[in-house]
Amino acid sequence: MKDLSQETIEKIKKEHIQPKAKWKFLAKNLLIWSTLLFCMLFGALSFSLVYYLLIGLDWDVIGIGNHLPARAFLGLIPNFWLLMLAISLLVVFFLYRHTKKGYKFGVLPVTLLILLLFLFLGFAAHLLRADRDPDDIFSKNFPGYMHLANNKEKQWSQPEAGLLGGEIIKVEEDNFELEDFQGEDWHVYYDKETLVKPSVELEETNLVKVIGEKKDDSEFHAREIRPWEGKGMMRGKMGGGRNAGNSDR
Amino acid sequence: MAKKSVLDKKNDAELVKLSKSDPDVFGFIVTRYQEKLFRFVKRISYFKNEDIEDILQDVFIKVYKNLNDYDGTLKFSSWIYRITRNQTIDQIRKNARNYQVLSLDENDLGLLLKSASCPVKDFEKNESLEKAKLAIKDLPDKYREVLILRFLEEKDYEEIMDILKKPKGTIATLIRRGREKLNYHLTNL
Repeated sequence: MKDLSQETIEKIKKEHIQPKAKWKFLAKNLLIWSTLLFCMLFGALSFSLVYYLLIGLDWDVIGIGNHLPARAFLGLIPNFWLLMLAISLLVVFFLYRHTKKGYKFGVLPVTLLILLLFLFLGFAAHLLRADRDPDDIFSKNFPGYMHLANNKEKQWSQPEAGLLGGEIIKVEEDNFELEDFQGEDWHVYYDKETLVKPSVELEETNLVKVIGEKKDDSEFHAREIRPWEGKGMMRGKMGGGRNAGNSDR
Repeated sequence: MAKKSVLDKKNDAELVKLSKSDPDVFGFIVTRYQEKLFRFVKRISYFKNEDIEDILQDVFIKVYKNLNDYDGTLKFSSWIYRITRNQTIDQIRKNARNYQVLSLDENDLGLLLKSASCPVKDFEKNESLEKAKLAIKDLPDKYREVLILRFLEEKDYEEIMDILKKPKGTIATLIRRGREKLNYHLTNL
């Protein structure tokens, strides 16, 4: 073969070829790593939201109504955030593979490491309550979100199955008006047989969950009323409940 | 002359550093690698000598342009082999043909089969030589490539990992399976 060194040097000099500036390579690496970090945080937040939405569900009422428990559970899996989690995993994996040393480890250890980081950072985000705002913002601004995310609002938007949730807008003697999460108004009737959980305060603007029976398009008979957060067992002391007839209201 | 003897003693990383400010120093890198890379390209492709020289010139220009991307955390030889391999594959794709190893000579074949623990035939007989060529040609690209790097280029697993950008475990698996397939082809031809 011919000697390429002289030819190469001549070409470099003749065409004024220069080594690309170091900062261009640094900028490229920085872009990859910062995008990776962003996607990692988004993945962790998605994990946190999956966890938040799952623990926000009232598991004891799954299966109430006509649904089989397994079918009801599948209908409440937070698909949207699970999808975001999967996309984040793929993007982080892809970006990691494009870092300088990203080829050194196999698919399985890298995937497990990313999932562990999602888990760790996701729990940190949950402890910092960073998962509340995205769910609230999406719920308020995107009408279809509730059905995609399968959150607590969706679980308590099944009047046919006996589960109704929403905001109290007016309280009367034996019923209250409730606006559900689709903006529909309901008259919720209760009597002395209705179990009202200790921490429930039937006052305007309060959010409640009602288990009962739909009578018509705007009438619902309550068997049990719970506060929006939790199952309503805490009110200074543990346990108990009161019947609406014995209410101190 | 004095400069030449000093530069000849420098290692790759030192030459890279000096080349950034003096293109003449880069000539020493070219001289150091051109024959090795020529053999490597010949082994993994079907190109004629003149085409390989063109490919190598493109490789050296690319290496020169990207000198600032070389950070010394891997061997310079692995880095330049990686660029050469990618450039060769690009050229093969441009020509819309598959890998062929018609360029492997008798010595390469013998060395490859012996090192890969395959039954070594008497290559003086044309029939055996053609069989061995056919067996290697029939190997999927991914196996042929690692066997060439391991047994002809004599690269260790770490270097092959850096050249092909694949995990070490994958490299070990490819070499093992490549050997098995080569053995199978040779015994069943």
